[in-house]
Amino acid sequence: MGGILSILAFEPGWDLLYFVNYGLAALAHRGGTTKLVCWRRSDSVTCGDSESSVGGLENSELVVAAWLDDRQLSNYTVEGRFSITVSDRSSKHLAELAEAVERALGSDKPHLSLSKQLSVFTEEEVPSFTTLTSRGELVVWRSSAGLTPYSIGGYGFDMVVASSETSAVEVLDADIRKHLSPGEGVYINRKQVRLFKSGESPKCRLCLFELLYIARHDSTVDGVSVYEFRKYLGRELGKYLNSAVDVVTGVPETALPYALGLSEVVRAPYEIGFVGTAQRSRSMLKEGIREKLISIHLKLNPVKSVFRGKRVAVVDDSMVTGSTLKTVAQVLRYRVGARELHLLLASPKLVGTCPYGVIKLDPTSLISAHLDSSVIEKYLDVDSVSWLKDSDIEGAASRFGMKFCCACFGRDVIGGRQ
Amino acid sequence: MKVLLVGSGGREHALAKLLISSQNTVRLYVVADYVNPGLKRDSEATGGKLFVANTNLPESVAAVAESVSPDLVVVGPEEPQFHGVVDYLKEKGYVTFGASLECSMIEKSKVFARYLMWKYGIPGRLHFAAFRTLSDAEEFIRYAGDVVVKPARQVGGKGVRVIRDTKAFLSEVKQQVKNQSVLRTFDDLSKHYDSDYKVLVEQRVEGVEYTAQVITDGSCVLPLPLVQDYPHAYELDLGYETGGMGSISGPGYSLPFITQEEYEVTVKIVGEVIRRLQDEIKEKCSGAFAGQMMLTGLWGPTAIEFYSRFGDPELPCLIPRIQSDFLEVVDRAARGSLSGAKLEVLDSRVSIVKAVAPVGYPAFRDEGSGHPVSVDEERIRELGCHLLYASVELRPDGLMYTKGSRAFEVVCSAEDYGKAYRASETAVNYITSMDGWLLYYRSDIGSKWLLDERTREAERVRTVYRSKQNRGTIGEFFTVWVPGEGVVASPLLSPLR
Repeated sequence: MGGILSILAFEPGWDLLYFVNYGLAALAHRGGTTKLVCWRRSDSVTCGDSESSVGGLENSELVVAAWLDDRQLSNYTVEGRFSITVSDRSSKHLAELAEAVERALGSDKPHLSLSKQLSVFTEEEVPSFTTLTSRGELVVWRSSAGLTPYSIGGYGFDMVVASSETSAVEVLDADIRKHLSPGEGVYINRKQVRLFKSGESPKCRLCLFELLYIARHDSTVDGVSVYEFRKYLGRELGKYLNSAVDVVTGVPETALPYALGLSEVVRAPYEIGFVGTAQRSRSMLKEGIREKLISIHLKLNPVKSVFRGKRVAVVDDSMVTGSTLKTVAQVLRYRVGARELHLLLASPKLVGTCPYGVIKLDPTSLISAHLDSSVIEKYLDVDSVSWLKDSDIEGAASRFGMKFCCACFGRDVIGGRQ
Repeated sequence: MKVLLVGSGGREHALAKLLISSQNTVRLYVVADYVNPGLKRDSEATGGKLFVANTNLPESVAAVAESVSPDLVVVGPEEPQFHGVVDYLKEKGYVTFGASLECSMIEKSKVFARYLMWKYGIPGRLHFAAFRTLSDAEEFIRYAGDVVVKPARQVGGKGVRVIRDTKAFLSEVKQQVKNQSVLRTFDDLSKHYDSDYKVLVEQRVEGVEYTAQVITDGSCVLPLPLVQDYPHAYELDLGYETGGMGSISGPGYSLPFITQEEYEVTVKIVGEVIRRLQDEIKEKCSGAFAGQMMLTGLWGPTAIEFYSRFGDPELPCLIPRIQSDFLEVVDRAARGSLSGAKLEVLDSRVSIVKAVAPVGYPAFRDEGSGHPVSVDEERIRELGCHLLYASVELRPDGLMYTKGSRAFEVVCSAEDYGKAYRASETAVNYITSMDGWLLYYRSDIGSKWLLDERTREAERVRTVYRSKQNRGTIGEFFTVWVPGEGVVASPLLSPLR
């Protein structure tokens, strides 16, 4: 998983390094372990990490920057033309995609060719991508299956800024102009900006995790405010809390809007329960167990007075292995002295892996796939644990006009016309 | 009636169409800088003729007028006005529609236009600072903040740099760009000796832009329906500033996202500017004028620029909507007898203009020039649309060639935007390149999507200016607190302060 940012400056004189650094910072929460920056200058393309780009970017009008894992980068060289393609998740299809793009770019009307060449890539495994070429072209495409989002923004008359998430566009002082729809792309150079459509996959839908966990609260995904979506699900959680509580809190930071939503309906105050140390880190997107634990422990220093002797509702977006919530429960019970702990998850039970590589889930370690609720309660040492039901996600899908991929929750699709 | 039209482009072709649709029998003559095939054909169809001459040279235009003896001369573009063509023709006794040299100052000198607004306290004015020397401008721009850098003289709508600077972590790089813009503007304007001021730095505002055009005889001001034009070159409001890649108008006199009250304030601002312009220069101004307006959170209707002529693609958008005898209105304005005149428009009809340009426009015009193009005008007409010939030239080989700017404009109208949009999207396909060079247009103009975007944006700024209105701070923008000195309204001080 990761995030992509690309910028084309129509007017000369911009040092894009600043934009790249802050743009990458605004995408850091999306996972991806490696920073990559590729830029075009005088008909050649250079890549490096952002620190090595100092100076190189000064006279460049075109740049792609991304957080990447393995198999998210492909180079293509043919007859002196060079292009680089980065995808927003690992994919075995990347080389084929890069080749198809290169074929299309060689034609008279690249946007029409792109539309045709990309129309065959309808499988869910095909990622969204961005291609930058030595001829000063940029191709941005959202996968036909639409599992991950992609947005186009503009900075005055000067720049196009495209990104996996709206937060990066807005942090760079640009305005969102369009959320690309599944299978939609844009061909951009200084002389043309052409939208094209390669056809929407009949199975197209957004990964529910994008709204649940991946995106920032301040982002908008396909026109839906991430924050409002999360608060809505938090309010839905209210019906599963069967005991009175004194205080509601959320596991930092994704769970805060859910907790606010729950607090609203159960009429118990929301409190800031934890303070993190060092920079924000996404524990769920970490792969190694040790890295994951470090990440968890760093974000969970409790504000003791909030919890001592209280009946507490703890909210999180989802439960994968239970390791974060086990830590939370231990801290609140033993170090702080909470009276009751009620755990509420703003998603259904995670029961399977992600077949499309959007998030990495090890099916053997998904706690709710292997243990029933009463065992989980005992293991986590909580008084109760509740999940949202599929019907709640159906309600959210209908309210926000969305269609979700819920493969890891054991349902192919929720929402849309079924 | 013999009419001589001065000018070469799409606006003049729109004027030609409006003038010859008069109930009077019109013989149309045109003096243009190149052979615009549309102007040539339409003038010849009335028994008139197209003359090629430098339209910025008063003597050349007057020589054509002498050979034609027109009853009315209509000067389309601003540059002939800036070069004194209108004054010269009037001196020679020709009844002429168009702003004189002095009256056209409202467009030519952006400093003058702003000065006027501040001097007379006209609402919708922006803070600004103007510079004659590079060193003063460079010193100022270091602390200017969130601004627009403009050439102080109108240079075909070019050279404006909008540099939103609201994030301190990006300010350093934006500062570099502001410096470069100042340098470049000085350089560009160095060849214009007719402008004392070179650079204008203006408070940046955001919101929804629209144009308010009027016709006046110096006493009476007749407003035309508002038009929204789309300055970005590419889809989704991306890319370079252009002269306008299209426009929309209707229904009624306002636009779907401008309230009746905002429309009325707008017309009042434009009328007041024309009145004060005349007070200031002590001369009557007749012809077409326009306010390039923006609905902002600061003021509501706000003046961005003024034109001393019709806009393009603004006027083309009104072709299908104007019902009155346009020639009669223009003629009466030129003769100073506009009082009592009315401009009837088809209230229920809306219209959409789409410009078709060669790839290369606007930043690489040389590459976009000299490409043969053809049109199937019959098909376009069957759709109920008009075709305007703009930056396209008829050469002796009988073919039309692009000149690097917007080559054609299609104007489609219907009872609603959905229908007009579909017609316009079909119409543009009948314009084709003969040598494979790509042409482009903006598919989003006139679409429901873009209309909705504008509506949302208008609602956002409306909330802000109404809140300012309620608190009695409309137009005020307190940006800096200098401890010991107090709150400063804007570091961009007008020359009056």
